[in-house]
Amino acid sequence: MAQTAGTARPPFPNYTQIPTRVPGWVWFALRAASIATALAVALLLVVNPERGRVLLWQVLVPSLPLVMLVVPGLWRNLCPMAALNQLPRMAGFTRGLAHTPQIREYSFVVGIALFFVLVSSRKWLFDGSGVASAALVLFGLGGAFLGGLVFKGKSGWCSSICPLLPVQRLYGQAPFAVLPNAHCKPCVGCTKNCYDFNPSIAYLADQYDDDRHYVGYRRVFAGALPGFIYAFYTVSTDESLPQIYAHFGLWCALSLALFQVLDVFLKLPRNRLTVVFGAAAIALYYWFVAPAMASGVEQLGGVSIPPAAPWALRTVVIGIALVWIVRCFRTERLFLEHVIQKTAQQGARVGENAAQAMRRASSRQQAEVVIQPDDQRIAASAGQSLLEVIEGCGGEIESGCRMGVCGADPIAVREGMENLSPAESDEKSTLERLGYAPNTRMACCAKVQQGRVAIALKPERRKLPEYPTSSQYDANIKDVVIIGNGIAGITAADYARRRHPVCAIHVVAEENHPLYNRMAITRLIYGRSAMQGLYLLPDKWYEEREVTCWLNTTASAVDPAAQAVTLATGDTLRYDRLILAMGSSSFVPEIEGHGGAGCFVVRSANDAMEIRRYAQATQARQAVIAGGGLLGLEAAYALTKLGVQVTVLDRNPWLLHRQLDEPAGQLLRRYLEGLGIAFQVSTEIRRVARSDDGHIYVRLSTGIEVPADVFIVAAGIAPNIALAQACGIATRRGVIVDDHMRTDVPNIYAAGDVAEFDGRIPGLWPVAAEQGEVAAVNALSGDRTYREPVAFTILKVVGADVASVGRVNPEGDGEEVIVHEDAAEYQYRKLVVDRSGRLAGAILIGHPTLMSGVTGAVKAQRDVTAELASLKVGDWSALQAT
Amino acid sequence: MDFTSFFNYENPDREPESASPVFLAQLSESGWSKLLGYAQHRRFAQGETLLEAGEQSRDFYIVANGRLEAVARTEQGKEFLLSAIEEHSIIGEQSFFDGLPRSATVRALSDGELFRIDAKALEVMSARDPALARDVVADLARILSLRLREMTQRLLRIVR
Repeated sequence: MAQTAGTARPPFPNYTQIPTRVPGWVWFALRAASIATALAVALLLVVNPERGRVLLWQVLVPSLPLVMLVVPGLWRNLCPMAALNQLPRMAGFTRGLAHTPQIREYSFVVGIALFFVLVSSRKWLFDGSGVASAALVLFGLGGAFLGGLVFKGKSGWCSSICPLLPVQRLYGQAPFAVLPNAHCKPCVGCTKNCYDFNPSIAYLADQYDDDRHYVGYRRVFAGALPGFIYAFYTVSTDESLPQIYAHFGLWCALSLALFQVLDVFLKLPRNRLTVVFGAAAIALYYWFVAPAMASGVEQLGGVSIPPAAPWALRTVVIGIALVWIVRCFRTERLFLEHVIQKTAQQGARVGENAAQAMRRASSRQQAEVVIQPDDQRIAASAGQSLLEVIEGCGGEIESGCRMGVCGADPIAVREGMENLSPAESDEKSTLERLGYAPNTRMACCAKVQQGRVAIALKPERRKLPEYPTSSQYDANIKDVVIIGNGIAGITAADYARRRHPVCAIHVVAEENHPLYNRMAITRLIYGRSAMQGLYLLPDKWYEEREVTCWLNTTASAVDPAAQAVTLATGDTLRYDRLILAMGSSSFVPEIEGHGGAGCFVVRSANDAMEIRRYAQATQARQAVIAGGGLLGLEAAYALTKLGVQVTVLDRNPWLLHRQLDEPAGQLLRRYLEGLGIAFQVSTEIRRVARSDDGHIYVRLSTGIEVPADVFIVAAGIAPNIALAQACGIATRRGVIVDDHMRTDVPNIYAAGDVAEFDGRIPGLWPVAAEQGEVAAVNALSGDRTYREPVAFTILKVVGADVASVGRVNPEGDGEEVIVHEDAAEYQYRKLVVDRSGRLAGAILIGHPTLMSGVTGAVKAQRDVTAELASLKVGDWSALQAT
Repeated sequence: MDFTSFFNYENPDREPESASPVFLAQLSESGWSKLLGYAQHRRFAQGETLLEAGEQSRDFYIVANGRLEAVARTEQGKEFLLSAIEEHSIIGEQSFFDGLPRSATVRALSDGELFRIDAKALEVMSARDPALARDVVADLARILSLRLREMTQRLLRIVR
């Protein structure tokens, strides 16, 4: 491909880049001689017209085209007209005017016209008259001088109306020897596409000009020239004046017509036909003029020229013309390759500050993630998770809990596993549950540490489905029934199978979907891929584990005495062990007027998809969401993406009341407001009213009334305990369980959102997963005591970067609280250290690089007594993931 | 076509000052660091295709180093060079705004790096740092407007 011009000579050098072979004073002297010669020729034409005419018309003039073809610079520098034209400038008495638009437009046309008129007039005037020829020479010299007096640079003659200019421009486009312009010091920029400035590109620049008229004048000249030459040598001088000019006109017209037809049908690159016609014209010219030249030299020099000389000249000229054609074609190709890209539309650029910042950023990013199969190479900084890297480059990946529990983002590590942070327990158990090939990692947990890591966004299957089952199992257990297909139920099914290779396992699910990423359901509101990507288990997961799944099926009753579950379909499932994992529904408080069209909750995938459907069907413009918790905010963001103006209501003074403190909640609020979400906090809903046309208005305790096409309640969860209650299992808010997830009825366990342990129903995914595992282990005759995982939540709103882990407010005296806030930079971080010096909780906003280190340290309840001083002054590097 | 770079009358010894507009010329280095913080940092290898004509993606790129070329195809399937892309250029801003398919294919002529800013990055930027986001959008709009002007000028040269 084309290379940019380096320090080597550019392909199209301008006159300062062409090496100077002849010193300036030599040119000066030669020009003086040239003027003297011209005057002498004029004198000779008057004194001795016979010799003068031979000298001018048979020797000097016929030599010029060849000079222009081979060394055009020689003529440009030596021409006596140019020398006189430049005299006023040198002497400092030129008026130096610029062209008017009219002159600029038509000066070249005048030059062409002068050429055709003067040359054709040779036939009846100049050729036969020494005086007329002398006058012509003087006209040229005088015109050039006058032009130099008035106009700047060479625009008074040489580059505008000089009749020789069209010839010189046509033939000078591919010089065999290039001489730099010796006139213009300095260049005053008098002409467009100046030949003297850049001889090798000037003609092509003319040909490729945007202005079709500008191009057209030049093409007309080239197209007419062969016909004109032919006419010159075929016209009879005996004819009358009109007939002479008619002869010229006819042949020029024929030549032009041929040019035009060929131009249309041959579809050649723009300059080829002009070159071919130019070459034809010059060959024709020397074909005819060669004998006259020979005789001219004979007459003047008094020598005898061999009769073969004209033939030799013709041959030489034809040869040169052919080579010239090739050179011109090549130049045009070079021009198209090198020049168009250089002059093509340039994009915008960035300045030096940006360059500096980019260099700095480049030096910071040492690691690299390669995403196959496209081999996109992303520069990553140490500590960035693969999920962040993939999301940042717009890669197709799902995300859920962002802590390795849900299993939404498995990827295959093809190279560089050793450059990733090792998998920790949550991630490991998720990987075990999913059962992909050993090179699988959860993207959210795998942090790039150094070097190069190559990944593929699709995890690989195991070659053989191997499934870790215990060889020791309780043979008395034959049937396990699990009610609920969420993460608690599926984890329970998974662990039941691990502990018992042969028992029947039935999972009964109210929903019509296999296990999906409930944490990402708000994406169903704004995303266009519906459930695609939301399912969390590989295709044959149930099959491979011999788990019978009853989707879209309601368990209507449990009979503890008969140890059987009755399904609403009429089927009955007998069980030895029953695990209740029915999860929860949305808690909807008593609100006057609530219900009917436009009122929603967001708990299941179907809820979310119904909101999307409704919002589209009704062209919803406004929405109100009651509840500024995680789900409420995520739903608010989702509706905003759908183009809906959202107002979030919260009874608390700040958002994420359970997970954040006030400053953090306010910072988050400002960010979300920046995304276009509106808030009403410290407020309660009085009632939901409807206008006559059915529009909803939410009336608040503050007196404000907010219109809503869509009204969503996201005010927490209500465990689904009806089934348990009906069969006499002890319940309060949830199904009461002990630390082995046992209910008060033998052989019945509960886990997840439906279970109430120690008076608490956290409603969090990691809790449900842990409880499901504990329930299954204990149900299958194991012994596992439940320990509640440290609460960890992440707000899944783009760019919010909010994480909360553990207990974020101090309890009692003697606890240390460390807070660093930089609201302008959207950063907030807080640590709660308990009395024993251990980390109890943390809030992070806008600190992605601290995320994994800090949450890990809090989960491990790390003792930070030694680092306390540096933590207080803001140096948290001790907590940074390594 | 514009040949002014070959006829730099005022200063023949030098390439003419690039006429291309400078994106966020007034933004300080720290401001740029902030902006790049919202961007994705990518590396590319010689010969790699970074953008494919016809693809749809709402993002634009700042070339940190390396050279690329933008090529397009005629209806007859002939590939032709649209422009050479040097380091520190901005590319792709049209699709960033209109979301329409890419008009050209961009290939790397050398190894290099670039920063990618997509609609999501701008969304986050506008929430966190509205002034910066406003400057980014306004300046990109200015650049597109300049280009429109250039097209108008060119049209005038062609149709007069």
